[in-house]
Amino acid sequence: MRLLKESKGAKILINISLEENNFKHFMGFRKKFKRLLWIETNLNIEMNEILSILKYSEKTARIRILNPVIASKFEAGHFVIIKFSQNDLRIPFSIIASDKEEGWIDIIIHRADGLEDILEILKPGENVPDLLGPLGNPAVIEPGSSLLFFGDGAGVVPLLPLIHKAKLLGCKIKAVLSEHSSRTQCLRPEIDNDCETVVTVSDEKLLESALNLLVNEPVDKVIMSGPTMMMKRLSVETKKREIPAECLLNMLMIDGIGLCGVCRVIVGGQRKQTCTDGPIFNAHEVDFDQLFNRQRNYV
Amino acid sequence: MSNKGRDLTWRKDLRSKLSAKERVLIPRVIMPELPVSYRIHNNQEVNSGLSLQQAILEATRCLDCADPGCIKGCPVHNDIPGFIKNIERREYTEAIKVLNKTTVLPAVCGRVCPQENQCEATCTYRKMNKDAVAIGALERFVADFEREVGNIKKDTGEHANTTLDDEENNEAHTKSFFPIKVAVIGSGPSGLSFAGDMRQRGYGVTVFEALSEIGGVLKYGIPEFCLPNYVVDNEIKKLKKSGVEFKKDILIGKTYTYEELFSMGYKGIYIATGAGKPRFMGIPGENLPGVMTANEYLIRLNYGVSKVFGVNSVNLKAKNIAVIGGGNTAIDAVRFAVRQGAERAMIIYRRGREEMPARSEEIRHAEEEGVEFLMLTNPIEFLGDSEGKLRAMKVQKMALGSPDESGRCRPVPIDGAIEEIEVDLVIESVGYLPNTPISLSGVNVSGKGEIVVDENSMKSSASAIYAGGDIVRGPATVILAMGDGRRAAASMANAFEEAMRGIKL
Repeated sequence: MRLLKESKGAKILINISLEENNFKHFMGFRKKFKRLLWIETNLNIEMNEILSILKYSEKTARIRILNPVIASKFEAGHFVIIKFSQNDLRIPFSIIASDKEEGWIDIIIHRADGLEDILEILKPGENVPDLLGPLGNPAVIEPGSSLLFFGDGAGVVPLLPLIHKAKLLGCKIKAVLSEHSSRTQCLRPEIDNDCETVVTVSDEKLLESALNLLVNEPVDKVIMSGPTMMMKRLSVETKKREIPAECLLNMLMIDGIGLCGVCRVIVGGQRKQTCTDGPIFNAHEVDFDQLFNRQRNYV
Repeated sequence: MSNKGRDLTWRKDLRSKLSAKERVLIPRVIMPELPVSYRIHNNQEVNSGLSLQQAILEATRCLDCADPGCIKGCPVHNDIPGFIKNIERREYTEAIKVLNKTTVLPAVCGRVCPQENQCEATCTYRKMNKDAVAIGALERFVADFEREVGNIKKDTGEHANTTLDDEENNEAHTKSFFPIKVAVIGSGPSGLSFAGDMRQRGYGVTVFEALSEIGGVLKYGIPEFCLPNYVVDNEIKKLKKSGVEFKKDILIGKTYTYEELFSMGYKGIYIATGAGKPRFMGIPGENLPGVMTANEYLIRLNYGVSKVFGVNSVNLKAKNIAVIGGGNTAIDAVRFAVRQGAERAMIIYRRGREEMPARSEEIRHAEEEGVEFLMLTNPIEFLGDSEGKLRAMKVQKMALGSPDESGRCRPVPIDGAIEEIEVDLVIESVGYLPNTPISLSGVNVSGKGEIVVDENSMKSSASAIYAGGDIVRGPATVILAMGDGRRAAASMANAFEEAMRGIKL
């Protein structure tokens, strides 16, 4: 990594190699400077470097990207838009974790539709050409409340930072997760760490076990993320029981700043854009049928 | 604004060469275009530009009037006779120097300005009921000539080593004269023109752009066949060379806040975020897959990729494409549709042909390329098939009523005249809303989301924050946005200089 700083007319060029020790040394060096100076200098840092790629499985990997600015601004619920190569459109990813001191953010990539080649292309030490963020609005979590997290498939990934935040705020956390998803498996240690009860069930029994939990011990809020039809059914059930519910939408975006309208969704009869108004909405107001129809035809 | 250089000896000599009577006999030049059968299969620029001879002949038409209307008609007040007469005397370097005094994007303005409503509308030829001088084509010629030829030499054959000198001048420009830096939010035409002006005055300038390409609407909105990307890139390269700094992938308000910008040492901020939020019609079926905004369509095509990492996510090569709207964006989109191989590309507009706000040249091009114009037609519902995809569109036929506030005739629905049109893809281009800055406090914003500024100084209600372009005036033209940038630069520089005078050393 290269840091170019101009001070008192003299140019100091600091070359720090990527080895971990040196990286830590550099971070210690930065702490000596005031935050203001840091902001000013990191404009000149070559950012968006891939620090590490942790492969959970053939299909899933956790990617750590250096970007001190986004790391320092990150709150649970934020996402970034990444362009992996010059010729691609920008794809949104939830930020899973960040370290303000070391200045990185983590995202999880799953080799799903449309992302076949991505894990072969990315290598540590290379730069991601475009990384924009943090976008979206952070999740609102009442300190000390009791929460039920409901995640299915890829939807488990964006729940992770929310669970972590809730834990820090002293919430009582329960989670219902689908059993078969490879993504759930690799994230289990982290989720188990934060939650009081974690229930993993097969896909067919997801809804049932979530409802059982709700009946036995009412919660203040349900936060769900997963396939649209699953979220629809849970949202209908929670509405019947008058339990507040929020859903985290994961949608296709092109620019991420509200220009294209691809991520539009009807919430409470109003047209909202997931990129600027979301990604978390009141589940009882979302028009899931329309959402499902749009998602079915846009990969 | 007066025709200052008119009394120079060479201008007098030029005028005496040919009388005005002789000059008016020359017919207006016709811009060479690619043949229709060829251009509908690719994205090449349709207008191929004037040849040297054409440009000189067209420049000869200009009468170099004592009271030129063209300068007044131009929002940035380019010295139009000044550069045209330089073409006539074959001093192209001088011509570009004249333009550079007032505009940083001559190659862009020469292509996309609605000249017929601006400089060319007030040309003296118009008063004689003749075709105006092709000012836009000439401006484009000068800018292209500079870019393509680079080492400009005189027609006489002697090498005037101008490029070298120019580069030395540029070097001098890269030094910032004042230790003051300013931030520009948005790299569209307004931001670029502000950046260029402030840099010329000796300030440090950083331009922040949220998208991954510098150029704003010039890149994501205007298609390659109207304004090729290399033209925009070249103008940006010139700005970079002069010392303007560009930072992409930074959304001010999220990545950095406005307060942070000030604490990073920026003494002034110019907000030129533009108007890019799509307006929707709000009719049933609008969220069906197959109905998209013009922005989505144009961004996908302009960025050259219609896919998300290997898989075609949306079929942009539909057979029956309807574009709703009558503005430039709508015409751009429909012409793109033709190039994507659409069997039927339609413009659906609720008023008549005369009321269309698009440039007349664009409309003519679209017509030549086989676009159907369904005038006085207003969509009222989009219909889906059993799979939930767009199948057809219900439209209401309209008639023109009495003129409204904008002076255009108000369309009135005809009772019972409802038709169904089969479509696979509908592109809505029915206007834009401003991209209101995110988490910006202390700035007055109108109900529409536009920033309220003082008309002359472009200063907002917050100190040291200026704004201009579409974020202030709503969707308008490139040249008006540039004019705002110039005015804001002038008044911001004035404010700084006043403040500096006040410091007692």
